Amino acid sequence: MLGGVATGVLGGLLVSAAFSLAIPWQGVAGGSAAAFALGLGVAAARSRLPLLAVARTVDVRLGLADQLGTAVDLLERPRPPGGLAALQVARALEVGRRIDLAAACPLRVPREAVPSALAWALVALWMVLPAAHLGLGTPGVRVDPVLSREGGVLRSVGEDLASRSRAAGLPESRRAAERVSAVGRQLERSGRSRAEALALLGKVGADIRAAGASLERRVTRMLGSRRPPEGRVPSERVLQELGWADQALRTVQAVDEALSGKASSGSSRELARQLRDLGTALQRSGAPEALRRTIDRARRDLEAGSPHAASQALGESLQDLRALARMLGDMRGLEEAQRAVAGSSRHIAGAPPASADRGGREAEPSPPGPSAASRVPGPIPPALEPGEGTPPPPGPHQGSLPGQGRGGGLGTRTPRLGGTHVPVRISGSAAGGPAVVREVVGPGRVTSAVRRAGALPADVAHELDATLEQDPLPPAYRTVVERYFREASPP
Amino acid sequence: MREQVEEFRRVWGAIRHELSRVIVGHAETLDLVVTALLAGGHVLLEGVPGLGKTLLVRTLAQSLDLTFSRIQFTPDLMPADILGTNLLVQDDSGRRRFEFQPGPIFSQIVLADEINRATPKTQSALLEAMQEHAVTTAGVSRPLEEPFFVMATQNPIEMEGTYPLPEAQLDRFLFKLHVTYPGVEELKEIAERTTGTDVPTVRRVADADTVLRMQALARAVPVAGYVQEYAARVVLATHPDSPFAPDVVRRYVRYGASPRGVQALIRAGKVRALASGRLNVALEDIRSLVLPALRHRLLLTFEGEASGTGPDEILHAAMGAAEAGPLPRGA
Repeated sequence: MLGGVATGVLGGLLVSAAFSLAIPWQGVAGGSAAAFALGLGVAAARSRLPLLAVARTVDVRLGLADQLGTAVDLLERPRPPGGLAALQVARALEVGRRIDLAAACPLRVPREAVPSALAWALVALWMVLPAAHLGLGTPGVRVDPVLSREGGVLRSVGEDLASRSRAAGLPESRRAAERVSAVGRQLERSGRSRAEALALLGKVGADIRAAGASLERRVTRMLGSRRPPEGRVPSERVLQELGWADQALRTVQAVDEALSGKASSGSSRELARQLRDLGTALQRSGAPEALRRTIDRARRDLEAGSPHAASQALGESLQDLRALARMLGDMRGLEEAQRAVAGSSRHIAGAPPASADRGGREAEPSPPGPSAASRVPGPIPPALEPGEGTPPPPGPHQGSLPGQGRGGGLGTRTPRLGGTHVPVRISGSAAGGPAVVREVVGPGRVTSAVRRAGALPADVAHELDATLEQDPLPPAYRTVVERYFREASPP
Repeated sequence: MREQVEEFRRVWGAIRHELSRVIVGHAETLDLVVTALLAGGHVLLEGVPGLGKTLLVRTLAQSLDLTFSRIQFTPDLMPADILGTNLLVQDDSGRRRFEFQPGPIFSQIVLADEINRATPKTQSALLEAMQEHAVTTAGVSRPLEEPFFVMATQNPIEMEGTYPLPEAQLDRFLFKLHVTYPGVEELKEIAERTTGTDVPTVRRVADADTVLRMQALARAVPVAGYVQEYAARVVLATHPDSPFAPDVVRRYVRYGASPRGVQALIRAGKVRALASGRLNVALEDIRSLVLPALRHRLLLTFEGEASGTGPDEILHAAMGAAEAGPLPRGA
């Protein structure tokens, strides 16, 4: 029994070590103690055997041909044994007196105990000694590439986030990003154990959560009664709930520019209609009452023919909305940083070997760019296209989701339009410097981002038609697409 | 009581010694024959001619000072030839009356040689004698002198003109023993003993009273409950519809052993225990007796006969099935 427990615990340790899992030593110790106590209890319960069972066991072990068992059986009967039975009992008693207890019930160490103890010692040595002494990859050594790789990822994510935060004027997000990149640099320098790395990441995660909580309080104060969940970085759901702020900012900006003549102006009635729609949307979204009142006042001023007063009211709204947008940007940045830290913690704590092996990440740490791109959402690094660098990992949803390559088999490829790939993308650094934007208007056709509607080139139209014929599109959708191109084409 | 036990062991050893002086080899067969005698059962010996079956029975009778008769079973043998018949006799005064003339069955040890050569009618004449130790003729039941012990032989290879024993009669034999062919050393010993001038003589080591006392003592040997349960499980495991039955039994056995099988195991086990110097029946006693005590009590299916699977293989499987579950270990 003890050998079984030891073997089980040892097996768990070996699996943990083989798969680079973080070993919860306290849990292992507690589990071992519990298993030992349970085993002792079972052994104690089992040791209370009936006398007949004991007699039969001794009979078997000493080759007594059921003499003791028969005697006990006779003694347990209601009638006392007589005649030959009494003689048998007497002889069994005589045999019982001569029994060598050490031979009948030997106290032997379980056979599994010695190899189990030896294996325990070997595992302990393997996990403690550095590779130089053994010539083998110990768990402590094997964690270094993982830490280095994750450090690179965090540094890259943090620097990028910091750059964007600086450009957008998001202080909380910038501070969190700098912390993340600093931790990434620390992890890149080897020498830390897995537990130390996890502790470091845990501290950074806690700081980010605290910053998120502070931001939440400010947002809550600003929003009045609407309170996002506290104690953690706002979730995607909350950010989606606050999505009305972006829409409101864009609408108010557009109306304000129209009123100040910076953009093509519509009629006052049209602008008033936009503000009315915005007010209705804000009411449905539960936006702050003060904001809705200000926008409503601007609408009434517009309808009353006072664009100046309306512009003043919109200016107040714009100020509030920009402050809210900055805070939301901060929240998104914190969310992004938190996701990066959590992902690295997950990978360090128990990076699944399958994905590591398939990507070659366990054997030799690769530059963090592609990894960061695959893990961090957002527009920061563009994903590599097929045929340009490392192919995307195979997975159950290849072509539709950024799978981790852990699925049992390849999924069905997403049907793709049969076009020619144009390796042109946005150039320049994110959120800084001049940017050149191009727009793909058709397979193999690149033009400027702003283009007036004109006649579709014949070859493009032909290629589109051929592609539409090939793809299994629903007829209704295909009709819509065809109608779009018909209406877009000049008369 | 101790003296009776000692006497049992002494007489057992003496009988075995006398048998061994005449019979070469076949130690297990000799043990089982004496066991059957002291357990009050009968033995069916199966083997090719010339293996000493008849000599064994004759030697046993000589060593025990019991009356002995040999019946050579032939197809024209009639029941009256075995049991006896009423003869019309005339006394000195000229009066005539019927007088019962006992047949050869009225002996204490009866050798039914080549029993399967007689017709079933004649074979069945032995039924009452073997079970009840009595013979009924012309409405009069006549007890046989105790101890009454039948040893029958049959030849397994000359099957033409034979009548296989009915199941009811087979069931009345305590053991069915296979007399195997002797080895080289045993053949040399047989040649040494039987071709010289010295012919071994058999001493009488026990009389009828001694045998009866030994039989009574054997019946008093205690048996533990778990040993009885093991014997019962083995017998039940030979029944195809029993929960203990292994697959080979379900497939090849039509009818399993009767309750006489359990009786045979326990009775013979008691004798074996005393012969071994023990006062209790051990599981090992039962295990060693399963084959001779049960092999003739199985009725195989057609598939079982065709497959060539013998009763011994089936009984081994039955023992395995009976030992698969734990025996009662007591309260």
